[in-house]
Amino acid sequence: MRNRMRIEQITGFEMKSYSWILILVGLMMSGAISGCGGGQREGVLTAKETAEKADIWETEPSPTPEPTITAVLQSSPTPSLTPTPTITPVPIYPPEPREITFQAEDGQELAGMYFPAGIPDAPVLVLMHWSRGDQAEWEQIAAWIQNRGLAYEQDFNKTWKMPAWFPDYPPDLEIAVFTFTFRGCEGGCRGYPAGEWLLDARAGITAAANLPGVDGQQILAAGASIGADGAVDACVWLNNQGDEEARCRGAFALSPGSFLTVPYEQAAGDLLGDDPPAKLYCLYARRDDAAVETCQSVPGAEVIDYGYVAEHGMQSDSTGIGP
Amino acid sequence: MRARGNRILLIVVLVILFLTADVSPAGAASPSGGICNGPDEPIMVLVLGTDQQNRGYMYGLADSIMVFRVDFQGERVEVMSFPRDLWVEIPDVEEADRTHGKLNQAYFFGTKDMGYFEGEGYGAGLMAETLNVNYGLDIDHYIVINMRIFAEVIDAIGGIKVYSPSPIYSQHQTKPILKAGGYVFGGKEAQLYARYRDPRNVLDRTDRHAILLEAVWEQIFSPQTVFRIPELVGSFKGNVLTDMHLAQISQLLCMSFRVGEDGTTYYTIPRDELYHPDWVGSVWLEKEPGTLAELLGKFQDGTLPLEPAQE
Repeated sequence: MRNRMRIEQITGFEMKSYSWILILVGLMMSGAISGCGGGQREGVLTAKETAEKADIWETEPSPTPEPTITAVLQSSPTPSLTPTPTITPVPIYPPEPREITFQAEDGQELAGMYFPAGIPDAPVLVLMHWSRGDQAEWEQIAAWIQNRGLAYEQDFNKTWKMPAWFPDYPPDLEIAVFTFTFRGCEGGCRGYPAGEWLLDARAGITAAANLPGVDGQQILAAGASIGADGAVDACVWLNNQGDEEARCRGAFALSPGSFLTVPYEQAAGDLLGDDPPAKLYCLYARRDDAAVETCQSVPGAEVIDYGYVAEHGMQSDSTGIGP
Repeated sequence: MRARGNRILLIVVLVILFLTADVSPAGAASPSGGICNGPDEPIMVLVLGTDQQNRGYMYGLADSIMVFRVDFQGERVEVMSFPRDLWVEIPDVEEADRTHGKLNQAYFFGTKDMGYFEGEGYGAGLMAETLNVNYGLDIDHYIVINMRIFAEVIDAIGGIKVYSPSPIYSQHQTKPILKAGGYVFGGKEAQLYARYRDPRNVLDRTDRHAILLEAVWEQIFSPQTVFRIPELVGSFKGNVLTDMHLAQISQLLCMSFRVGEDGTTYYTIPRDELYHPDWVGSVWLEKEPGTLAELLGKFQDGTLPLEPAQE
């Protein structure tokens, strides 16, 4: 039997808009990612990585710099020279999001936004948007998950994206966030190039794995609607590349529907069958029949029943409920 | 007019299908790496529009009958439209004391309520088998859309803008129901526009279907609507009868965008190969038996030499 999680009644009234984000955070905190949630870690960039990544933009000093000593003192019966410690700088990137451009497999240039974490070598969450918008749909949530004091006060029509709606941030979570815009979707998607969007999703997760300051072996992907399928499809694809430096640890699908030409249950099954298995959460609103059946088609995934809200994707809670 | 409408129909059918398709866990398409991740071999899809006014598919006749040949590798889509009055052998209906009928009746005898056909797909299944028995066509998938769902989709996309080039008359009315000109139709109005049968109407039903389908196409892929396609899928899922998986439908929709009208060829059964027999005037028979089987064999092989339908 699939592991079904019902959260509709948890708060005693209709589902709060931010609740699914809490689930996402729960995914991140649940052990899918090793080392995620431990606060400041002793992450050290290799010299090669430092050389490659540090010049992306200026870094700020770590608040508690911990020089790494690569030589170890050993007791010895005979006096010896004290070894000189080698200090490797630990870059902490400024919190302000940075524009990233990258290319899909077919050469299409794509625009992304990187929200660095407050620790080096951080896990990274890739957020993929739905067809009604672009990566800006995730702006509020990305800043909240990044948890470095950035908050956007734009008056969004969708109240659930307002910072005031977000719950208290888990104290131990440190994670970077990466968003990008599918081709042809600036301000909302035009046309339906599903095959190309699949390439974009793969390119997006690859770009995230190679960002400076992130640990490519600790990637999560989440998305809504076309982005939901993109997250799962890209996660599986990445793990099938045989790249030991890049690994997707889990995905969160909000209203998937096999929208990117890959059967959701096939991709999801592959993801859950990874060794070690990745985590997969799938959320649906009950009136979104396609998402209901899609989510329920995969045994072993955490299926989240969002209740009787009528909408799809990132509009799943636009009912005007207060925070 | 008709040819243009039929080309648009290709897109519209794919869109409506995508908006309304039931999810079938079996037979999910595996991406092959070809265009839109479609299969390596061409697929043949039977597309039927029924005259049913309710949401079900338990009975009714096939109003329009088409087969789509979709070649993902060759980046080609070909559409063959069949006259619904074609006289054919209908298999598996011996219990009804008949072996032949109009092609559109194959759907009727296969519907669940009729109970003759035991294969998969009910009316669509028997229609596919009928096409196979008579013409050797091998159908891979089927799609059935009824008028009710068609109307609901029109409402869901906010209505359609229609220009009717001639007045529309309704029986029992001396004046036109609609003058020539532009209108915004909701689903109900579109249904009525499609169905007026008065002989004074210059545009026959097929012409008006083409006008409506073109309007639906324009509205669905308008900037105001196109980004809603995934969420509309959830609203209508399960109300179309099909054996296709959503992933396969997304492949078809993706393909339709890729090939566009230039990559799509529309064919009709040539009327000069048919005749009306003396015994029943409203049916079509082959002048030379076997002609259509040969023609459709080439259609299935992708070697059809016919000239496309004229604009």
